[in-house]
Amino acid sequence: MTKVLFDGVSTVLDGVEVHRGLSFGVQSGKVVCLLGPSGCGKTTALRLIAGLISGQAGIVRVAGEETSTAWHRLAMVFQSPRLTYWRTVLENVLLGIELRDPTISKTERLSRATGWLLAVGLEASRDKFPRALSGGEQHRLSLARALAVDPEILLMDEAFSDQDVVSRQRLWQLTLQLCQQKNRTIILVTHDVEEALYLADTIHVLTEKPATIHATLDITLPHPRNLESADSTVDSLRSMLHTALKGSHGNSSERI
Amino acid sequence: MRWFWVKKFGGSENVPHNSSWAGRILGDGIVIALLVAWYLAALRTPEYVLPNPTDTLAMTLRLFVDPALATHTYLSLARVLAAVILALVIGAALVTVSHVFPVTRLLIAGRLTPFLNAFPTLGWAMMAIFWFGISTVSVIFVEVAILLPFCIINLSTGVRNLDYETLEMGMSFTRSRTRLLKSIVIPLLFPYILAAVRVCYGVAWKVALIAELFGARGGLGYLLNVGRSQFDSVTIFAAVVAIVILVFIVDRLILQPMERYASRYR
Repeated sequence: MTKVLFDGVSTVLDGVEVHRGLSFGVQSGKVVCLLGPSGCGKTTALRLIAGLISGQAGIVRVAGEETSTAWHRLAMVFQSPRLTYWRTVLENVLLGIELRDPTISKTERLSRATGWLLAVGLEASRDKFPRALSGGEQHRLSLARALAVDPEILLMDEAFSDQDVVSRQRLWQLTLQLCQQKNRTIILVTHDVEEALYLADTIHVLTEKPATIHATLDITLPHPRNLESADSTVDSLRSMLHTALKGSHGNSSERI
Repeated sequence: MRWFWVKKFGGSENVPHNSSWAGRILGDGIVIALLVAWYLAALRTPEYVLPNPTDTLAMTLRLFVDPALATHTYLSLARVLAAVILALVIGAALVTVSHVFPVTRLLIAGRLTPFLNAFPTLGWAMMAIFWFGISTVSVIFVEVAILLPFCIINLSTGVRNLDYETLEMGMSFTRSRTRLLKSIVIPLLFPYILAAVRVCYGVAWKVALIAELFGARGGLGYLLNVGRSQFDSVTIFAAVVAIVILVFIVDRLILQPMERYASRYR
């Protein structure tokens, strides 16, 4: 089932053409990575899906619905953590649930929030204020806040960019578990080729503005993937991806 | 009370003024020297020109504890508090209207606010007597009219500086305006609301005196008028000291600790 559909989407923001006829689909339970030059409109694509902005032309659908009504199906992890600094770590996670569905009982909210804090390794900091956390911890907190609403679709904008190696591995595993065990759909914006190779079922490489799909790479390797193995398949995928990224500074398109 | 706020909300104990020995001598020393000078000057001056500080302080105490006089003090305080709350509510409503309906922005920010800002207190006090007679409504009307521009300006600045990124984060979870207002917008505006309250509380007392002088049959302003007509300078001085105490106490024990608490909202 197609969870997210972009069909000929064109977006203009503040007079700048960001997307021109952008088309791609995301299947349920898959991880899709958007890669491309800085400022090419990857974040804008996520904001379109979240219904935070609208495109000028084309169709964006989330589970067959208009984005203006589908917001309850998804959660977004923003590039900056966007925490509420007057709330404690625990209260920040609770905020997402309170905003999404205030009818959930307090016990249930607390149980979900503490569970996700544990999952992202912040259970010991639950009573601290966000300012006391490092940049990486703040990002993990914003991830916990998004996960606590149990979204069908998770939009992640460079969510792992400032994590240490151990935390990053832990969060990658968490992401894969969400897809494999709970059939969640994840759209991930990243600049990290290794991250994309480790997580993605499909990688879309976008061109510069006005962005369109430059290349699409389907990865069928089973999880867990060992990117450091001598397997030539991984090397070949990596090489294709680097070539695609180098070629993305233009607007031709190809399917690899 | 201050202890309560600091303990509950973790505000810092830093005192805004210089608390070094030199600062203490300059700050507190001059106050004591002035009191002594007042006492000495009062010994050589008729009471209606300069009353004795001890008589003034005794009268001030009566303004808080003697039921016949304390009624005036607490009536003024109640009017000030009511006016601050009303000005905040009306100001918030006007700012909301100007934000939701941009067509009203010029009317509210460009016409109404400068008009209210420029209109003199005495003018409002006279008009209020014509419109509402000598009553509490008159006094509160004058106070609200003077406080309104302070609220509009502070709250408008807050709305203009609203962190859109945090608001957008909230919108990614819900489209409910009520929930966004309660959990995101009001907390983001809290420092501005508090700044408006602090300014309004101080200004309201200044306005209260003028408004009550003409438009009321009770309150500290009314007492001032009675004192003036009877050449009772002790009551006049005591009423002024009572106001200074009320402004100082509320500011130091409630508003300042709340402001420190609000710093975590920035």
